[in-house]
Amino acid sequence: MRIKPFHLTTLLICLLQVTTLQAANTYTRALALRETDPIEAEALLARFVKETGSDKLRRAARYDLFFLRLRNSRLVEAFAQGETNTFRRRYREAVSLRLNLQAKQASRLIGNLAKACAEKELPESLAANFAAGNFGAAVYEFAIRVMQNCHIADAAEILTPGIWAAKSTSERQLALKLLKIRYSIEDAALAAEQVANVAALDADLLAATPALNGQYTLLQARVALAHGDLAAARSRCKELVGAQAKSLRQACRFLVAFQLAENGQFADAYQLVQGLEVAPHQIDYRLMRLTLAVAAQKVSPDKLQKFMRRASYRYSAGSIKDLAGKVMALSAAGA
Amino acid sequence: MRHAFEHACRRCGAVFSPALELDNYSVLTAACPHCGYAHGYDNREGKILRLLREKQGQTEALPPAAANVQTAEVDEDRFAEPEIAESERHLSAPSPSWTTTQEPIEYTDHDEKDVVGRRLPWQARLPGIRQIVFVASTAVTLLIVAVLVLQAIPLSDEEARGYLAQLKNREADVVLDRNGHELNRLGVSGSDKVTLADYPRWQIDTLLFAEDKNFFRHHGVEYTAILRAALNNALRLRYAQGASTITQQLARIMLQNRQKNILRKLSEIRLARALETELSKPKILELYMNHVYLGHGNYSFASAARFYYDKAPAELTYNEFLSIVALIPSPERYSPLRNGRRLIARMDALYERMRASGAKVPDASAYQAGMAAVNAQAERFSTETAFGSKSRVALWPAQYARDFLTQRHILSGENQNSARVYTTIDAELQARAETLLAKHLQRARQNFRSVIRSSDQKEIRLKKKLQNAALDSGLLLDLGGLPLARETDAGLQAALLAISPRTGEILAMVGGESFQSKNQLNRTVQMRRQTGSAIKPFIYAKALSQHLIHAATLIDDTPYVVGSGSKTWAPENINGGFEGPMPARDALAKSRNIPAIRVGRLVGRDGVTELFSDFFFQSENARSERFSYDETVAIGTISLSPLEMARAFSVFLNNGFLNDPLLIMRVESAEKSVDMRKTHVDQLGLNPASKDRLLSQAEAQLMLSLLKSSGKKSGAGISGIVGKTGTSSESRDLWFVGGGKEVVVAVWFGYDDMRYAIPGATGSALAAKLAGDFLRPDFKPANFKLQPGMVRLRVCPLTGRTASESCPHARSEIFLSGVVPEGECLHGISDEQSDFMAVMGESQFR
Repeated sequence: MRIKPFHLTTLLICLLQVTTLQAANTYTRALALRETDPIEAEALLARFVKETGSDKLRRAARYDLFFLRLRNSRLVEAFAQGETNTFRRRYREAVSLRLNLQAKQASRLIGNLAKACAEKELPESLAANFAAGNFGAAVYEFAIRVMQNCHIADAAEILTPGIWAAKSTSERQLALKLLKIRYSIEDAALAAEQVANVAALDADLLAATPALNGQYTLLQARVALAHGDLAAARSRCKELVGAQAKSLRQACRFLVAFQLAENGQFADAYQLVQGLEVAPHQIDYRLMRLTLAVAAQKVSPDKLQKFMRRASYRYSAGSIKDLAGKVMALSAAGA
Repeated sequence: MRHAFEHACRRCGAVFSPALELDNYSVLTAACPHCGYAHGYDNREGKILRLLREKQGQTEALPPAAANVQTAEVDEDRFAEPEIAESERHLSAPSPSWTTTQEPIEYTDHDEKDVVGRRLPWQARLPGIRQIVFVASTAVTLLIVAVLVLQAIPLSDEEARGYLAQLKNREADVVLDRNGHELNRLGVSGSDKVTLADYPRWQIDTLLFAEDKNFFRHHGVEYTAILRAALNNALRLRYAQGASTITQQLARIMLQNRQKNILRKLSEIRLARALETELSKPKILELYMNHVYLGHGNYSFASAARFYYDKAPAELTYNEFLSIVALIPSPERYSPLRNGRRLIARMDALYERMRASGAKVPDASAYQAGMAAVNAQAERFSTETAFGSKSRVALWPAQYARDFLTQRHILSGENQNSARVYTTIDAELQARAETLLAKHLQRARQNFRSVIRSSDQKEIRLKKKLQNAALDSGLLLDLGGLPLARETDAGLQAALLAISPRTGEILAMVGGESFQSKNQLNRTVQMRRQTGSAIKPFIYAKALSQHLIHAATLIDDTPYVVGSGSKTWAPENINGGFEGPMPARDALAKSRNIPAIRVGRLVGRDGVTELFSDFFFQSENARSERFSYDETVAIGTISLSPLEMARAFSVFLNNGFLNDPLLIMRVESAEKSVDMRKTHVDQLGLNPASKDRLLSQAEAQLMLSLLKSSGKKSGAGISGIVGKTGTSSESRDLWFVGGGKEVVVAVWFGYDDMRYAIPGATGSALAAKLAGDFLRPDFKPANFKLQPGMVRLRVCPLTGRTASESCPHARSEIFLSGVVPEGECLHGISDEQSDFMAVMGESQFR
């Protein structure tokens, strides 16, 4: 049978319809997942915005994506969406709310960050902004992550360089020190030095501030892990007690489990995390627990395979994705 | 079974015994064996056998001598079967008459002499036909004598003068407001009375030719005419001709009795004769011409001349005057506005008769040429009345009340009832409404220019050609049994209806710019238009009452898309943008469309359907006829009248109770007094409330609180007003509905022709401004009270949660108990208290 233009047209129309239906299906699925699996919903919406051919649906999905991110406090991810006046206003309100800033402060900060992203470097105005403002650690954290998303290499430089010399006079200063340590963690020696510095100078303040003390303990565990001292890390994790430290304890265990997995001790790693409560939006933990379960042969690799096909998989931390890749490879080899 | 009996032949007289199957219930036949004449016997009801058995029984009981007695008189009609067709008559000869067993029995309707037999006992008890005829003729004779005697006795002078005084004092129907102040008079007025000298001679001649040729010769009654009419009517077996002289017609007008019976005629004759002695002929004629009913509310020739042709009587042409004269026998039946052909046929007949009689009339060509003015009447509205030209105040409610009362036969449309109609209208509010409406309409016409959306959806400026097309198209409405009304004026229009929320009484009703003969569409009750956002309060009320939302619930104002491809529906807000999640209170106050649609969706098909049934339709039939659910109803694609909107909105100001609207309180006329409030008759074309209470007191108060926010933003410019504006698609309809403690007002602006829009205009720019000006002088805000079952909390509008102590956005909000926000906002919470640290803890992996 000869293929005629009519056949091609029909085929094209069918394909278009299937694509449209599939796209619409993605949108519908994303809306349905907003409460139960918000990160997956976000990822689906983001994909839909890119792929849909319908302007009306794209606009709707863009709004849904923006407000979903705001609702889930994913301010960094929503930063790039400040396209319309409504978005800018609502973003400003959300930043003000989440970072405890006044409207003007939030507006100025967002403006400076936008400028930094446009120029791909740390603008002086932003540094001056931070120097003048009495911002909390959350603001610094937010600014650094926004700039890192914009591929500004020295984003962490906004953290006051001279803070190590003196004893912290406030919780804010101590929180900034801890934040600084977090961004130095890849340099294990430097991080260890800074942790020791805090221990020497700010022991009193740490003792008086349980929330910061918890952060400090977690950092100690991380430094121990960076030096390969699993036993020390585990003992630090055990120090994290009480309801307030629940998320820190969870993080600590996953960090230790990750290290165990890196060492090939999958069964021990899985045992450490299997009983932990994990919320739907904690996609790193979900991926890691599933990876460890597969590695410990508690769960079929198909489940991990399926998880890796999720739209939100790309939002997972690279280190865990690598681990999952290795586990899948091992499973395939074992099979 | 055959039953033999003897029978004398109708032709030869020989006795024979026909053999008939009497079990066969039909018309039986038997031929005479001597001459062959066929006889018919009606046995369709089995009478022959039954009577034969009865007769046999009697024969056995009677002594032989008595049994032989023959009966000569038999009432044949007792057996008559009129249903038998003529073609069957030769067979039918309805039931036989019975003789003794030895004698032949036969019934025929041809020849009485052939009937033989005995009087039956039940027949014997009846009077003979001769007796009946005698009694009847005596009674008729006595009646005629009585009538003749009575008619010969005219009413006394005193009685006649009494009737004359009544006629002179006769007043139009007076419509009064709620405080007894006169609003309007509907009927004849002093200006409609002219003297006989104002009519040219030829007009008098024409009238007399048509109605009473011998007017100047008779003494009030023309007996020959009565006889002629009686004969005519008897021959035609219907009332085909009247014989009333002009004096009698005047008497009838005085008596206000339109019944056609002998007693009325008698009274009429007696009064006519009295009038002839009391008044001169010209005076009778003048009175007649000043009081005769000529249709559409015109009670005189002068009034009719002005209504039909906008002229004084003396200015009328022959055709014009003849058309009015032709109306007299039945003004509504011959109305040129309703049935021009019938009128013209009557005019033609009159003209031919006049010409044939040698009267002075225009020639045929002039007569035909003169018909243009009469034909033009057909272009007018069949529901027009003359009242519009009499007074300019409160015509909408007055005319509505009068139409309602005449339709229900509480008032007569043809007579002036001298009735006093007490309405619920507040004269002061009505006057204010009329003045302000005219003023705001003028302002709107200056500030906004209409456009027509052409068929290819390209917006074009209003052009003369299209305007004419629109004028020709008209708008037809037939609502709630009200008469058809048509509107062809393309001008911007408005309507205002004010109602008391506590009682449902209508306080002011303005159905349009002006009540003119060319435009009497009462837009407050006869028009239904898309409500736009004005419907949203009802959607929110339903969601609140079902506990689906509370006042601080965040509702997404983000694009909403349904369907795909060409069937995609993506509604927009009025400014085209979206504001993201916002509290229900703000969404309603800002009149955001998408939140309303989402709330409507929450309420669901059943909930929305129930809502419209309860608030607007009150009956399953009306709802299914006028409402079909889709998501667009939440933004006002449903069409409702201002009255329906005002009535439903009153629920919020009446603690959740729905009232039945009321316009007429009481009617008092010479004949009767009717308290309309006790009749429970629906006066305004709406169904009575199916449920008394639609919202609880707490829900109604909560809605009041929400509507104060929307009222503040409505543009009405009154502090404390509760209300909501509405603007339908492309600004075709602009609404405001709302008010205060004592008055709820519904205002509409738009074009009667829905192809017209008012670009740039909104309900808030026009309708709310008018409502504000109307309500402001004596505005009393609705009292809001925190009811049992309600709580007041501080909430954060950004999160929809209860506000933290240091939340900068915190505001007070009202909730139904148990339907309150969950959680607290994070405003002002330090890093250590917030979940920031937890977030830090989470993002340990890179």
